Amino acid sequence: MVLVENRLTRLLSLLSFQGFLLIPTVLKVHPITESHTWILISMVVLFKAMLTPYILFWTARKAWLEESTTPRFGYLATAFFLVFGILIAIFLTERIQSFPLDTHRIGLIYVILVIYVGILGFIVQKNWMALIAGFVVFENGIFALTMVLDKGLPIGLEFGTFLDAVLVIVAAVVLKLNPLSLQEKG
Amino acid sequence: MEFLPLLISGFISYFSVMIIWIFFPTHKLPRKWIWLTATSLFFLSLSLSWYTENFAASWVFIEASTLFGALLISSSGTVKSSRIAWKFLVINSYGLGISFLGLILVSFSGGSDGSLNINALKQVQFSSGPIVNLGLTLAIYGYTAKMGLWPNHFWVGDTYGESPTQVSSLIASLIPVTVALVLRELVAIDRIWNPSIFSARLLLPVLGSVTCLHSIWSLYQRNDIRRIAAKIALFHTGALAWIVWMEIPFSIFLYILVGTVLLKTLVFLTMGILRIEAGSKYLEQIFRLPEINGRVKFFYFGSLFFAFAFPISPAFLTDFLIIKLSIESKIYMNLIIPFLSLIFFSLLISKVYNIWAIEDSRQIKYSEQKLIDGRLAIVATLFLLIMGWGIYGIMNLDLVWGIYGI
Repeated sequence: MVLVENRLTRLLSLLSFQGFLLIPTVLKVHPITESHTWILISMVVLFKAMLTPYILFWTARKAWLEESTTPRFGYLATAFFLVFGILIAIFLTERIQSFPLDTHRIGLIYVILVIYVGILGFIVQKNWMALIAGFVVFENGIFALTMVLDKGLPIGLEFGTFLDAVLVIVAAVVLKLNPLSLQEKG
Repeated sequence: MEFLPLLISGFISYFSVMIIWIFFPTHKLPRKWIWLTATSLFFLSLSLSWYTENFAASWVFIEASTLFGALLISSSGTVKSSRIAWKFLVINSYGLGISFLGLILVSFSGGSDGSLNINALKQVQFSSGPIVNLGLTLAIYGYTAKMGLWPNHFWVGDTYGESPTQVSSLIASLIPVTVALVLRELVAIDRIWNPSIFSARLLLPVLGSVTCLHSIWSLYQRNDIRRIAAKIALFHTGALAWIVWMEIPFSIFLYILVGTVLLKTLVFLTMGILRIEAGSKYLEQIFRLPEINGRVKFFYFGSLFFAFAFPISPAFLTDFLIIKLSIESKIYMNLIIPFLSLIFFSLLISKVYNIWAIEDSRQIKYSEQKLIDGRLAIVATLFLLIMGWGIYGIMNLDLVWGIYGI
């Protein structure tokens, strides 16, 4: 839906919803009794579900971006790319079967697809905001991948999965220095 | 201590830029403290990454430099500069995101403790399989985007060509060198885990040579001294990627990196001085000038020669080194880099030669005198340092004599 959604506000709402969906993946890996689990959940809610979509929404308003957007290659071609991604994800998980990864296959297919959709978003979107939304999806996919692989991340590397939040904050600061910079592109 | 020469050269680049920001800026910038702080944090984050022995930590520091770099690029406060900052931010972050994904796969499948400690990963003698190979490929490919190699080079031309000179020189001199250090470790691990030549590390010579060819083609089309300086930086980055792939001792690799930092700073600063003196960045407008300050012209051409062909320049010695290693190892494919370098330099001189033909003048516009004199003093110091580094290379690294068996 992120790929073909043509209203920016709905796109950002979807990002927020996807952020909340990451909470169960944290609980799958980390015991509910650990304080680390709750710190991670708090960061997911704060950065991925609230702050990132809100700052993107603020940036869109500040830059007077148009609310509507369309994929660069049209809806049909984008849908075809998505189907291609599903096939790639299935193919990859077929190969992974022979490796000692105690992983739920459907979950892995979904996560590979989320990462693929994020990368695809970078290619097919022409609106700045939708492009950054693609990056956020990509980062959410990486976060989910680390959880699906059943180990979580070493401390320190965990911060890397919040890169999208840092990116949108800095992008917003750049925009604040020059509020007109995105108008023509939108 | 082994990174001390790199730290010193990086500090010289940073210090030159800070002096220009404070004493010799072309525009009076509002909120100057923001840019000074961003410049300092940019240098600090990259230099910290040199000292880490963990891929995760170096990744965090390099990403931090992307954020400060984006702020610096937008310092002009124009619509165009903000656009370029966004482009820089998005492409670099995507590249680093991909390398992050690769590092995670290496962390989970590499057979070490999962901490991404470089030494621990090197202790794992054999770790092969599609997931590890995919992880290393993604990590290397992601970092090449940050380095500015083809096909993720789109941010390079805009960033180096349209940002203030001091920002271009700082980004162009420090980012490729920092990424090259990380890539060298990834290549070393790939070499241990997958001795076959057709592995993840092969991306570097392939993308590096395509980047060099692309920069030659782009140089042919450009008529703007800023963009020409950007193409010089792009070519050097392509060559550096190839050098990372070669198995060369660390001391020589470090020598090349130090030379790269100083040379790129020099190329961008001399270009900036010529731009101020000429009042235009377009070659056709510069060619029409009746006269141009002799010192400005001399330093500009000096920097171009130093970047490729001056006999005691580190760049020239690097080409010598590649030739020597190619002959010794009988891997003649490496000769493509000095060969392309020769083509690039010939094309470069044919492009800008007419500037040399403009009559010399001793005068500098009164309004620009302090600015140009100050900047010329900085580049004169850089010239001396680079010559000193070149002489050090000839005397200590056995770069030249070994070829002839002297």
